[in-house]
Amino acid sequence: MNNLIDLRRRTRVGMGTCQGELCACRAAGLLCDSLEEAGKAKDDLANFLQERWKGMSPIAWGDTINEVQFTSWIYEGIYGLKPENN
Amino acid sequence: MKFDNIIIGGGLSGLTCGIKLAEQGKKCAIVSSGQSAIHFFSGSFDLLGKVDGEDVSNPLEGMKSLSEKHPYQRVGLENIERLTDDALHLLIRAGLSFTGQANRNHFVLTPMGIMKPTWLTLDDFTSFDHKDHFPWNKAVILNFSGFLDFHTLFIKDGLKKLEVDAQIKNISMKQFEAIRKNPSEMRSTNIAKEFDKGNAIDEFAEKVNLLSETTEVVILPAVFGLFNRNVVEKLNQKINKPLVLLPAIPPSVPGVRSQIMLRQRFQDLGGTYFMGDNVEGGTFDNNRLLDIKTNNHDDIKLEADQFILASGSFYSKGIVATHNKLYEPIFGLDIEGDSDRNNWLDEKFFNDQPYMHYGVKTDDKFRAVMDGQSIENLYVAGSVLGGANPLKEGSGAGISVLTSLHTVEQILK
Repeated sequence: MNNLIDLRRRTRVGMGTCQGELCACRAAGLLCDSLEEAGKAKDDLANFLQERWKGMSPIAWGDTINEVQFTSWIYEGIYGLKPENN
Repeated sequence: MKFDNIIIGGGLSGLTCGIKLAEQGKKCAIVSSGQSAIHFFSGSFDLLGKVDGEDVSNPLEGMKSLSEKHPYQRVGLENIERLTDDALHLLIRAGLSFTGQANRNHFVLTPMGIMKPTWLTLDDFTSFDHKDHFPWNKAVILNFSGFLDFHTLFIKDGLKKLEVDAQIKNISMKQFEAIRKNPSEMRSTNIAKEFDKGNAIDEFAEKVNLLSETTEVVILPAVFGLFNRNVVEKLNQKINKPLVLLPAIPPSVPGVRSQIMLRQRFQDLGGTYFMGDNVEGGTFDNNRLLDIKTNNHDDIKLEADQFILASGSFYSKGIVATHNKLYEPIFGLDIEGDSDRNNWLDEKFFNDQPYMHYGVKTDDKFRAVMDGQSIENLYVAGSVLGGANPLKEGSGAGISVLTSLHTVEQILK
């Protein structure tokens, strides 16, 4: 187990109340300890967000679209995360 | 209750409008539902960071290539430079100290260790002139033991790419033992509250000095000074090496403090701030908004000559999406956005999402439109306006502040 998507399958991280808004980054920070390269952990976080987007976009209205917008602002706006090569 | 102006929304945009109007002697009220985007303030205000995916070095120049529907174009590029100056001074009068210029972006280091262009940076944080090198090459990144909202390895990785050698160290102190027992308590605002009390600063500075003897700078999470404005200044005095603070996961401590200071400025100018209140609707007559009804004021109507809607984007519930439509929830104003839900989203999370461009429709004077008719005394400002993707452009705070100041100028004309 060395990526967030597998971690999600095991623990459902990213699928609770915050829908990955905050927990994904906390988990990525912890997972980073076990990876050789921190850059890979950032790309892994970006992949995780894309993967969650697949599950959320079909129901992205109501509170879900609000959460997605918040998540985007945190990761892309404040952190400057890119889809790859972080 | 009768005011000259009532502003709906207590975020950056609403507060900017309120302060500017109150400074001009207007009797104003702000109705705020509670939290706003300032609670996840990064410490910097962006004006324009990117156009078509390319970095912008001079935002005032970069704006010339924006579409005519963009809020900056609609404000008028000939007005922008003056308004950016106005904005900076409004913040300074509120006691907030920022550095930066509208005609030249500087850079800040993000908590992912990535450099980002920006306009104004709060004095807590460090501005850099270049995005590809730092003025130092040895740093220590310090974190509080048990604090999960600051990712030291990500920062170290980013620094390494720019040839900075960084060490990571943790600090434990008895002041934080109580909040550490429960991981959900170990949050930035709770750490800040301990520092606010004043009794952690000396011991903390001593530990930082011991751990940073062999480095040039000290990198720390920005968890200092929630209600107490002087914590960062004191740390800077007591810590021997320069401090580089980086944002932690929200809530943002400097953001909460900035919001409190802006609100205080508004109230000091005689403004009335209705906290935790929601506007439920209004009475319209002949394309004018006469009064609004709020949750906490029952049958007491709030009247004003002019109203400003600054209710924010989706996450602030200024715009609401259901499975088959978009609407403006307070008055049912006309919306600028696609009515077909299939067009709201792009399948790639990091692509330019169409919904980000949606907002309330306005006429050329930034007045709201309802059933095709302009409401002559209801203005719209901030991120509830559409016409841009502020996330992709790096223009969120700029659009908020500049459209607010522009709207106020329309009202004062």
